[in-house]
Amino acid sequence: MNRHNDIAGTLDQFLEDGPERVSDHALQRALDAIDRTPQRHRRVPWRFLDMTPVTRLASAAVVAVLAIGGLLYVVAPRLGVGPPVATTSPTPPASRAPCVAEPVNRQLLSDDCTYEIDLLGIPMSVAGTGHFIFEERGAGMNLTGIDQATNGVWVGIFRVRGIPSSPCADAMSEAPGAAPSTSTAYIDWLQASPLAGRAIADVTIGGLAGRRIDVPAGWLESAAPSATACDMLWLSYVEGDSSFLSRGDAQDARITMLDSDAGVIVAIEHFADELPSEALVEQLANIRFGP
Amino acid sequence: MDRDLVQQAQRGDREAFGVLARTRADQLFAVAQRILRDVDRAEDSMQQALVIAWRELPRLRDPDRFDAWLTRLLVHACYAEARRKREWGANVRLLPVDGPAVPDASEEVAIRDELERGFRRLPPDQRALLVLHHYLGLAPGEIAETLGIAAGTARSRLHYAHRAMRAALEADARSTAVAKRGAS
Repeated sequence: MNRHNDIAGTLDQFLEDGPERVSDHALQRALDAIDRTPQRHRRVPWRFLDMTPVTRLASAAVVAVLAIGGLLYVVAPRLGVGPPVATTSPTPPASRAPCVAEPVNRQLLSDDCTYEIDLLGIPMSVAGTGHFIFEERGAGMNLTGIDQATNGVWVGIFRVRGIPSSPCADAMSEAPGAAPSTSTAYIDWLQASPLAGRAIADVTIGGLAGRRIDVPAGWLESAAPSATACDMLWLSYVEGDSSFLSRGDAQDARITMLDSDAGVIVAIEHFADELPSEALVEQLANIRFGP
Repeated sequence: MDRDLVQQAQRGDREAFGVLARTRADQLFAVAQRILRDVDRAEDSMQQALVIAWRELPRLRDPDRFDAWLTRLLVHACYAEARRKREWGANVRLLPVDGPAVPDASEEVAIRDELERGFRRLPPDQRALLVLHHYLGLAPGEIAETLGIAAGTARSRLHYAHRAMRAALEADARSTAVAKRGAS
């Protein structure tokens, strides 16, 4: 190995060789992807990529969600269509008194109360104790919940099935084929018991928990003309219907995704010293959605 | 000049960002290819880095740090791409490298193959450090700024990366020697 004793010089030469120019096709593909991608707003306090380690540790955040399309209960009447079909049993609204009606893109600190939110014309409430950040994400919403007691748990699902093709369909493994005549939207909320030991929030849509609503094709374009699915680009690991685990881009993060073929993505970014437990990961991986 | 473009892009000017992307794409790709040793995956990583950069650009506080920040995004995209390969490549069998069918007398080629195998033995983070240092010519302090780590940490990691590369080459030489003995 004498010939490699000068390891620095050897590496200089070795790494000098190689392609220097990206293909025009690849560059154009990147530019096209950029064209489809909205920018995030500066005011959003949570940052995915540029968080400092201190912030990560302090926030111990777990994030999630995504979804495209969406629609819910109150929107259908506004659009002049028939009443939606609910497939879950109505549950009474949260018993706690509403604290405040907050717009999106706000950071809220809750003691123990119910927040009423208007999401694309759909009344949504979040009840619990914690620190919530509501962030617009395309046609859907990111809800980041930080549980103060356990310092970090968030699990949320905003699900839409059968969304008409979007310009960013390739980023979300959207099922190929013609757009369906109706879309089905869900919002569910899961309890992250392995980490938190309890649910950190209860979410209801239009006063009901776990709603399913059929909406007409084109609703997305009507309700949120500027919405796209591009926010899911960063979850580009999604492939087929396979579930898999991967650490996030931050070294102390892990992302879990599943059921991507149905347009469902659950992501957990855990910015803490320890990764989510294997038990939680396994639990998430075994979740199957749908009516 | 670039600062103006960055600031325009931060305000949502896609054309300005397009200019920035075009002028950086070659270098991003070249760096990614050297880390990942694969053209297709390097292109994917470059795209991922550019898309994330566009999305997150409004949050970049110092426009003068754009290039370092973009490189950091690229390195992270390469890490993700490398992990993805690992996740999805579980069924890919690693075959022994038998060398070219026709013996190549070129010492240069042999050395290069040896280096290639040795480099591929390194984890992505060590490859990235070596590429930033030996290909981009970044000093440890600049690497630290790019990767968002302490300067001392960068120096230490670079030292370990060099050591790992040396060890990888030695391991490769040993396995080659064993293979030759087995074949004879």
